[in-house]
Amino acid sequence: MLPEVMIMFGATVIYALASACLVIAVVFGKAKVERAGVWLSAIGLATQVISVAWRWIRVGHGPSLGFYEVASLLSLIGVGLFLTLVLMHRGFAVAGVAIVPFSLLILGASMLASKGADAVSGSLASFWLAIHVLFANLAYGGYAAAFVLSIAFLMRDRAQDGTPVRFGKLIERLPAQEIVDDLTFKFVGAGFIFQGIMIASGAVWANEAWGRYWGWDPMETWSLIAWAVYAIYLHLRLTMGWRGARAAWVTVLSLPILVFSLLGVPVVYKSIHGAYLRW
Amino acid sequence: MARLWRGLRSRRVASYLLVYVTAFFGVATLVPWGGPESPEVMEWAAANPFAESVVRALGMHDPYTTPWFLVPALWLAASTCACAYERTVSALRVMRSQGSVKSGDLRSLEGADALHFRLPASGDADPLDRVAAVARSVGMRVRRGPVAIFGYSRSIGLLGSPVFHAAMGLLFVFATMGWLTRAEGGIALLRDRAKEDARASYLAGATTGLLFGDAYTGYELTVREVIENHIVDGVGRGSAARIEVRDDDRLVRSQLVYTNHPLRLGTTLIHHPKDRWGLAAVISVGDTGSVQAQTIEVPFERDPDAPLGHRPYLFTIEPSVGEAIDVSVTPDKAARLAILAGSRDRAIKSDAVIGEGESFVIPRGPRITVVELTRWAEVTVVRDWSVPFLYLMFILGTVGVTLTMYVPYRSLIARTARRADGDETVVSVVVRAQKNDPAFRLRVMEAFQNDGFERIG
Repeated sequence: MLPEVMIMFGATVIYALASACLVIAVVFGKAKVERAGVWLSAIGLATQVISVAWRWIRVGHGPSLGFYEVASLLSLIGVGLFLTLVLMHRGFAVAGVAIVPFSLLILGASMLASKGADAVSGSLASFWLAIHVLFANLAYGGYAAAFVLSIAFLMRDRAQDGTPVRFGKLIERLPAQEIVDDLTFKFVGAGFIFQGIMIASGAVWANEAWGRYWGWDPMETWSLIAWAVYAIYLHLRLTMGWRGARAAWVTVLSLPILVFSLLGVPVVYKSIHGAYLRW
Repeated sequence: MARLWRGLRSRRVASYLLVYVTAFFGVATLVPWGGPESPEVMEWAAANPFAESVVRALGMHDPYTTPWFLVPALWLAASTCACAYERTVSALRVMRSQGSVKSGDLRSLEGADALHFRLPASGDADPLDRVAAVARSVGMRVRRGPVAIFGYSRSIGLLGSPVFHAAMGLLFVFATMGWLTRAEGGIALLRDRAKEDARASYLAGATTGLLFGDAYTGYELTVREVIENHIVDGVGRGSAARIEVRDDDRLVRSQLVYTNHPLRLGTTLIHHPKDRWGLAAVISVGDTGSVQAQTIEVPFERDPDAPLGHRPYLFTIEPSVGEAIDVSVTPDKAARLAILAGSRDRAIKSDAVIGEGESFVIPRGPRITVVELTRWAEVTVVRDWSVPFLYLMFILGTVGVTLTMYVPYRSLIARTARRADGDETVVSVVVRAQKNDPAFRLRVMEAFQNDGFERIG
């Protein structure tokens, strides 16, 4: 087994332990166990970073080709965002009960995929590849964080209406609704900017490679659709004054479109991007 | 005119248009694009006969040229420009009026959004000074009046939205102008044989925008070298071609061109499409009286499934008298050409395999000579002046949205009033940053409470 895969396996085990701790903390309301879960997530993240860096050096390109690389980077960004949220406000540690197991799931799926290094072909041999993929992952991470925050906002909104909700006590530990709402908005904004850079870097790259910056490839089009959907969110928020639950619902409903643009398009359409999720 | 302007600057209409255009993008991916002869369109039409009749009637096989797209998209672009104008005016008005408290502002202190605090009497200190200190603690610059203070943040954030909308509007304008004036096409170049950048040189003609006219550069393009697999840093980049560009005798540029490494001439890019190269021949057709002498450049298409690795090249000799003669030329593995010639009435039929410098005579036809066996490479010339402007607009748009999101303009107005009993002061505060910084109100509230103010409403 390759060293970087062994290290990645170690990260998977640590994330599994972190997930267990975070779930136990939620079910039994144990603050110490929750802290342990957060620390284990941080250790798992550091381990995963080592594995990704190791592979990057060995194969000579960033984590951007094939399901193993793309999915493991997504899980890395998921856990990274969770820890960023916790650093911003400790109350967000409860969000780990959703984010860390989900990241574990993605990482687990990537561990089942082929770990052979895909050779960089002529058309992929460009520094725009790293920029394009990096900003794509940052954008998806930003939107995913906004989604989790919106769910938390809506759950507490229901609790405040007097409707009984599960994990009510847990939700109480989240920061004030205004802060959750504000952070949702900020994460969507970050995702929007990063996705814009992702689309633009892809356009610059396409222009370098083929002499056209836009070709209406299904993946390009659906990325533009997802970007426009979040532009609608920002428009509703900034010019029409949508806030709170209404805005949170828009964030929640936008994520399936984003997920389809990332995972559904290569399955449904013939796309020049099809190779990046090769199993 | 006034109604048109109202329609253009309506934020609600702009939101609906954005939703419509976004949905249109999605719908447009559901059907294949192309002309009626396109294999994908034909296959789809056969599988979906009813839907095809609707799709064809709506022109959705070429969706982005239909009025269903162009009219709303143009309206959205115009609306974005109108929005940019309106927001610029509004931002400048706010920037100019910073620090001046108007009677309307003071009235808002009585509104439902106002925060009210109680400050116990604390000696001779002016309560307004304490309020100003709290405002500064949340990052406000403060201007003080006799009964109220006005706190405001850096005003650069006000420009974010106008810059973003202006950039997006101009992005659309530049993209449209670029589309109308661009030209793109491939030229097959035989090694060391120059071709002029002119309409006639392009394979199947260049694709040009409506306003391109005939603005070709007239430069001479020559391929000096064709490499089958160019290796850079250990990575095979596919085929590469050394391309030379001359303006009469002056060498303008010479460069090895391969995927991701085009030759740039200002806003003109010259690409070499990966693996578009092959064997080539220069064939002369001799003068027979009824057949005019001509030289034909033959770029053979590579085809791994063809017996000799290349597809035959077909041309027709049209004599002034008698039947046309169809000629098929195929390179063989020994770098010779297999030539098959025949007239349509089958009166003439002959074949030969000849090498460079050799010739053969078609019975009752002209002499065919292989002047040269060489290689060819295709180059794609793309002329689009708008691309750098699109990049610039995108950068400006990103700066704009970043300013709007992360350097939001915030302001607050606070007024103090001493209660009739004189023991305490009531402070009323209105915070304005609700849309792009909803948590700011909370931060202001906490700052007052941390400074000993007690919230009473």
